[in-house]
Amino acid sequence: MKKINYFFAGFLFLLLLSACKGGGTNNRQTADISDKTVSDSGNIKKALGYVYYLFPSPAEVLTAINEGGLVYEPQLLNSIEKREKYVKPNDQYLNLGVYVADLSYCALFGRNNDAVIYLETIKRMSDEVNLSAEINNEFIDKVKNKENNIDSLEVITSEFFFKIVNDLEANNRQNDVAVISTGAYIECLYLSVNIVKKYSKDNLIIRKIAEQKHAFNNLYQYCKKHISIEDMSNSFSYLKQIYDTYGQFSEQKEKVKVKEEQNYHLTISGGNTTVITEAEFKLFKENITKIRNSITK
Amino acid sequence: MEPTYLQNTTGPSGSTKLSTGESAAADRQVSSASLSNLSAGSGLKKPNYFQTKKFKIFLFLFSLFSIISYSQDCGDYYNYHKWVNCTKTIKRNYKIYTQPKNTRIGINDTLTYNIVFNGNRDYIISFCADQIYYPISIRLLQPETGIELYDNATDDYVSSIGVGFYKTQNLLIVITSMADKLAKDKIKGDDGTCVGMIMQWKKIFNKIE
Repeated sequence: MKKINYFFAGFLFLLLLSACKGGGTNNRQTADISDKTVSDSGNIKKALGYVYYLFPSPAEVLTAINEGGLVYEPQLLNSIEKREKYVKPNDQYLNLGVYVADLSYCALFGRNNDAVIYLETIKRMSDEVNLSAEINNEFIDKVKNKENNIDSLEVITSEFFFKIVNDLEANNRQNDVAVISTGAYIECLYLSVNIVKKYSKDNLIIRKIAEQKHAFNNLYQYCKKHISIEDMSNSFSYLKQIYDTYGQFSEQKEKVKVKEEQNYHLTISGGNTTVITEAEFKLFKENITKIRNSITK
Repeated sequence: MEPTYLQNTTGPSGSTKLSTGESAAADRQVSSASLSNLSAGSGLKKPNYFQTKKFKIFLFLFSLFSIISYSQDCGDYYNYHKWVNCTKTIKRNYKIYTQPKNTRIGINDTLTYNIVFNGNRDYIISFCADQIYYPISIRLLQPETGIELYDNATDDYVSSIGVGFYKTQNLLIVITSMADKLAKDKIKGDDGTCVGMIMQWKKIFNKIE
């Protein structure tokens, strides 16, 4: 009996400890925190505190580019049969991202059957990298039941991506978030640049691709914080190449104007516009295709 | 050690008080039982406090409080934005944008979100936290220059604002809990609270500039 009593007391003590520890530390570790930034220029008078870089989901990136008029070209998607080739963790995470982007692309065009196939492939890959808790049959059923409802499919795929991100971040796996997102973003660009057959200055898809500089910048900043293991250096080098290329594109500068309206609403106009020349686009397309093919080989 | 959300309220402290009271009651029970046993001369062993029913109930309640306290951290609050007052701001004709984020903030703490806003869209940016941590200051800054574009101090620290964009760009959203000294006194130790952020969007302009 005494042993049982000691067990109770020990249990009590452990519970007390667990309650005291909470998860505050964990939260701060899992958050995307950059160094404290204080501007010396005088423009930012107060410190910014912790800076969180948030980046859109692959579905959101494709939705934004689709405003330029993407088309569905299934031959561009990465074959699901290649899944078994990806054995190394880095390849698995990168291609998991690729498949998530492919899923978003199918969903964007309401291709439910293709979307379900990709979702099932993602589920199998997720099992291999211990992600399955969040990739359950509920999502597959949701996609199946949303036939011809493109808006809902887009919402579901975005939600799906952020469930993966949240699950990984909650388990201190930002490194994996970074690699999966890198794979997904590269696939989004690959699909978009290859839909453009001919360059034109006014091509809306190209303009939308140029605008993704901002999303890439935030993903790059996030990755800079979290990709540190040598095994992951490939992923970061891919991202850095794209980030550097975006940095070389010229910018048309326009002063930002703010118009305050009623009901706590304001409108922001102006701001910089990234411009890609024909030669730059050709090179960009080649590089993106090369990087993507080296990931999915 | 990092402080824990709600650790200072309902969780362990409440149950610690309970333990003191229960302990005293249990002690009294043990004493009276011992006396009656002695007087009867039965020679029975003194009942152990840990064997009493009350202790078991206390243990159960304590475990429950501890588990609740442990789970109430921002890290476990990924759905926080869905059930606190953020839900009031969700509009039907808007879509949820980017990753809703829940982070810890204490009084006078500042944190910043660097967010991509797509052009030709209207966004609603909403923050929610425990009422005691209000008002929350929201400022929008340009990342490159640090120039302030908006400060909700001009709108009585409203916690939900609408912003329309013509061009895709990044903005810094800087938030600070501005709770006054009175609130600070109420929140002993200021462990901070979880702040939920949710963004929604809809397309507004047909013309791309």
